[in-house]
Amino acid sequence: MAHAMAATSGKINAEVIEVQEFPELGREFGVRGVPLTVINEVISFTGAANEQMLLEHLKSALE
Amino acid sequence: MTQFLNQSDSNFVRSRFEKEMVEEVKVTLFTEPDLKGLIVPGMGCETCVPTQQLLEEVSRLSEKIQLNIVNYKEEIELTKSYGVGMVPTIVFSRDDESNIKYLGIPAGTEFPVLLEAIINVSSGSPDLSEETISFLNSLEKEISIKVFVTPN
Repeated sequence: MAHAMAATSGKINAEVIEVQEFPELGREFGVRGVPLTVINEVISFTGAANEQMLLEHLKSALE
Repeated sequence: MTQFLNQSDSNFVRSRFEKEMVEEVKVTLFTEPDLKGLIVPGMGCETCVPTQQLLEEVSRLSEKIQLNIVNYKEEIELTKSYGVGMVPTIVFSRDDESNIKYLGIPAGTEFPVLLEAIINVSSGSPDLSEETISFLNSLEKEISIKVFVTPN
């Protein structure tokens, strides 16, 4: 979903990270469960994100 | 070396690419070279070689996929300009944009993420609602989204 949004807008930087291969990133972002989505390194939520949910989080990241 | 994709997987992926890809896609893998078995467990990049193999198999399934392999230790400027800090990192682009990345090997349950990234970049029109598209088109500031996953 994050990639789909980034394919639509160059303003979205989307990274999918396989956390077992990069445990240091997992520690840095406090990953305890997956999938974990982190927006602007501030907002984060666990669980599969549907489009509407991710959109709402992106909107709140701009506030 | 064993293949990641069996014949039926390959046929499925090839047919999705034929139906859904529009423009050419550059798939750039930032990696380190094969150390020919000199990898010490826990040291170096254990998934770099298998990631390259997987991407080579996938890129053979469509002539619209251009696979570039970049040794991040040699191509330091290019690596920096794509904002890549770790390997393996895969960047999906039509031109030289670098806003769509996958860090790690997109195998197993993460394989669909690889397919969708290639198809979305190629078509340029992912299946998103009008509300989402209009929000995305109105963005003035950049937003970063990181999604942490593990394959099962």
